[in-house]
Amino acid sequence: MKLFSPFFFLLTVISSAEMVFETKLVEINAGPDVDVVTAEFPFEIKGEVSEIIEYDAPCSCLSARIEPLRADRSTQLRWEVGETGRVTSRFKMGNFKGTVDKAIVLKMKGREKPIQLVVRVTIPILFEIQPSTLMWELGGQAREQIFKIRVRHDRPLKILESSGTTENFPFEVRTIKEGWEYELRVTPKSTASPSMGMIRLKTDSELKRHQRHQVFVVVKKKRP
Amino acid sequence: MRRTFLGAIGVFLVSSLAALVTWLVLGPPDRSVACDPADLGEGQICLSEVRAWEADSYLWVDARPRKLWQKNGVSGSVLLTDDNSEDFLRLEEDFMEAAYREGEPYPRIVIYCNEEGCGSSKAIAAGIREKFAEMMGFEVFVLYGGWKALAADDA
Repeated sequence: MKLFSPFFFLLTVISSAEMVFETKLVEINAGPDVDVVTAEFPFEIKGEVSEIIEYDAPCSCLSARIEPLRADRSTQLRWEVGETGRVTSRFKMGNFKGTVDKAIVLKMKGREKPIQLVVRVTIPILFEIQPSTLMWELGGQAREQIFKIRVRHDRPLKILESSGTTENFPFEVRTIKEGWEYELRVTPKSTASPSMGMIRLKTDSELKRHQRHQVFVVVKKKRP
Repeated sequence: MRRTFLGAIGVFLVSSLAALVTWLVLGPPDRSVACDPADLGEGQICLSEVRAWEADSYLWVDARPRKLWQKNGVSGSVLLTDDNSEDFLRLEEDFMEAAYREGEPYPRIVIYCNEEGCGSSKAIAAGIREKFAEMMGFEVFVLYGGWKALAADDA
């Protein structure tokens, strides 16, 4: 056993050699009008030297930087034991709504599994439509069904425009409380043949990502 | 010096021959993505299970950026990415057209993304489940290993 002790010691050091992050998940609740959020993942090198082979964010919405940069503004990829730094990510939210997870991937030398750093961003849904799809059975009764719309914001959102893509699904926008609550009532002309359509709504929101909305209406076979 | 050089050539030839024999006897290296059903997260699926289904019983959804989908997306797949350079409502419309399949929706939707690092497939899967799955009657899965698993399987 004594003979193998140095071996076990060496094995322990190697297996613990890594870039140690304070956290690998950063959660951000973004405001409805925020376009860009940043998240930081501080780290420390423990065990032995760590070398980043590649770092990437597999989405054009997310960019990553390893900081601090070198004096010549290039990225430091080889990190000595005891050094500290941070991975900084910048998330452009575009049309996202709801909760989105985005990962930054660090591929490390001598380590098969990459390190994943996750940015979880929640962007509020201001114009809530329930459900997102209405369905009628093929050959079934062409009865009226309703989408319920509620504004989840600190100011009202009015519906400016509504349009349908298919004649088979005539609809009516009914105002329950102007700016706050609406109903979208749909009654298909026929359920005799399969059909699918969309109803598009446009609101007066000043925020682009909250202006356009769509719901689906379908006539389909009942699955056996 | 000459002896060292010849020695190096000899080692190179012997190791190359050994590699060739190994290749011929055992076949090419296994680059497949190991997938143990016991390790799968909620809604994830192994490629081997997808391959066992009838071809017309599922629709592939590519959650990678458009340029990757155009480059090597699975034949018949539909693009549904949360890449913010895209008009997501338009992509959603294309997805529903494909999934609806003239009134007989696919019973299963399988989403793949770019290797392990992409959270897109999970986010897209959650969105499809929440918005469409119940009404359209389909199950939604995320492919374990993403594009890497598909590429290894085709190799």
